[in-house]
Amino acid sequence: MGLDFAAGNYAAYVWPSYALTALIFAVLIIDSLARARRWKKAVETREREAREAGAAAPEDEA
Amino acid sequence: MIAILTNPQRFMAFSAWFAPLLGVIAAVLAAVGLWSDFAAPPDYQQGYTVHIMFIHVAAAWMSLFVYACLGAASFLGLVFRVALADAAARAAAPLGAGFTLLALVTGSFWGRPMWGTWWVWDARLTSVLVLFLFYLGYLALQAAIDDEQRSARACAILALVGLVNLPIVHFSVEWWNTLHQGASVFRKDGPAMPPVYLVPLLTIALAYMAAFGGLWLVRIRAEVWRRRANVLALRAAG
Amino acid sequence: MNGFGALIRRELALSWGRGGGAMLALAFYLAMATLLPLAAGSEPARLAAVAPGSAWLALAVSSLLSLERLFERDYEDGALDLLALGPAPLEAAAFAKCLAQWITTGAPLALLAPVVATALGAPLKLAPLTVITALIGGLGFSFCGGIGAALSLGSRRGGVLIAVIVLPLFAPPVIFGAGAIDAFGAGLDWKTGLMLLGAYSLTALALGPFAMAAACRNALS
Repeated sequence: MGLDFAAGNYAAYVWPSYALTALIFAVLIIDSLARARRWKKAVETREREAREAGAAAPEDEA
Repeated sequence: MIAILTNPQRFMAFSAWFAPLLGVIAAVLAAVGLWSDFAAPPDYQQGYTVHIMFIHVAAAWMSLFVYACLGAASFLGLVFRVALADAAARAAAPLGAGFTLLALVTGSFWGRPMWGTWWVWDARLTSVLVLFLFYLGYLALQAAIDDEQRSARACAILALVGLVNLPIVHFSVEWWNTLHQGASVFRKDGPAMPPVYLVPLLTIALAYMAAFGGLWLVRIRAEVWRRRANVLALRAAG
Repeated sequence: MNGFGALIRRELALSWGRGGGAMLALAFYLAMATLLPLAAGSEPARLAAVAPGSAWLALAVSSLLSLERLFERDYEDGALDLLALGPAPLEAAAFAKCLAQWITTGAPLALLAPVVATALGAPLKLAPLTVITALIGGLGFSFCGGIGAALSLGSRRGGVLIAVIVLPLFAPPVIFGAGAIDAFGAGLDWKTGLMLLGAYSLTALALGPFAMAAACRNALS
């Protein structure tokens, strides 16, 4: 059983709808991953800053 | 499921491996679905546009399924104050809007060769359009209120109002359709779908569902980190 | 009951004194009805076909106008806090507000609706049913619209946001109301549409105040 990629007279409708589906999925995936990466990085930066501040504070007092 | 939603630490540990797993499952299902999709012969009535039907019907199912998830998360957040429910509702809305847009656009591409117009005021199409407007209203309300807690609760109330309203909208649109159009474009008691079309449709629908699940978890994770970053920023400032 | 009467009297006095809320909505309704033939063409046959429906659509949009200030003024000057702390439940206050809004804005609009529809070319025999559906539908518009007004309290953009939230909720009453008038004009069964419209408005009447009160409490918290 082979694959039949011919879409006959309807190719002008079939392929754009697949392309748009791919596009919307790409937007959703990229946006979700970028969001997760961005806020994970923000948390790590904040935590590092907090640790450095915590390490620096006793020296200030001494 | 609820135990995971109540405990952010457990959720993060669980989703760290489950979200990628869902992504892999979605990719495999999509590959299988697309293979059986293009192995299927053209329909004797729809011809090759049957290929559009698979991705369209699955998207239309997802638009409702995501709204059900949004409603359930809103209910858990509003009534039981489940810790992650607000984040889950917030994360589901853009995905739901995406699936609904997908259903509308592919429906339009299917309707043009089948019906001769890009848009038909058919009952199902119209209720999907109203559903899309619901998602837009939800996202607009979410963006317009600055205070996080308040925004989340206002959105949860709106989601529940929408949950009550959607069946009414669906019923009213069906009623309106019988009023204005003698014969519906879709037949209610249409012939049962042959397996050669049922298999790709169900596989693609499952792939969509797995993709939604994975993306939903990723967005909830982003939401958890965002809140944590905001808390740390406040602590550093105070 | 006495307390509720006082609430209603207060809301009525406020909305009459609120810079002519009814006048504004009526003027807006007339302006929309004027623009319709200018946009769609003035041939009587074409206008008459859409007259009852467009009169109904304009009604729905006009009833949005006065919603923005429904809760906002009380929210800004602290009266909403007092209402929330007072002996009467916030649900009753929300109910009184929407009822007063219907009396001062919805009912005048409903009386104007057959005039507009007839001017656009709808047959005169539709006028009584137009008033009745507009009165019943207006009740639904007020109570559904109130939910949008309460939800958008404390947001950065009131008016447009309310419209975007509320207009999808208006789909069923617009369908039932315009459908009943259409069916009556065509000599078909119009009672079903009217009854469905009534059922919708009663549902909004019964459930709306709870959503509004929850939204107000959230905005006050």
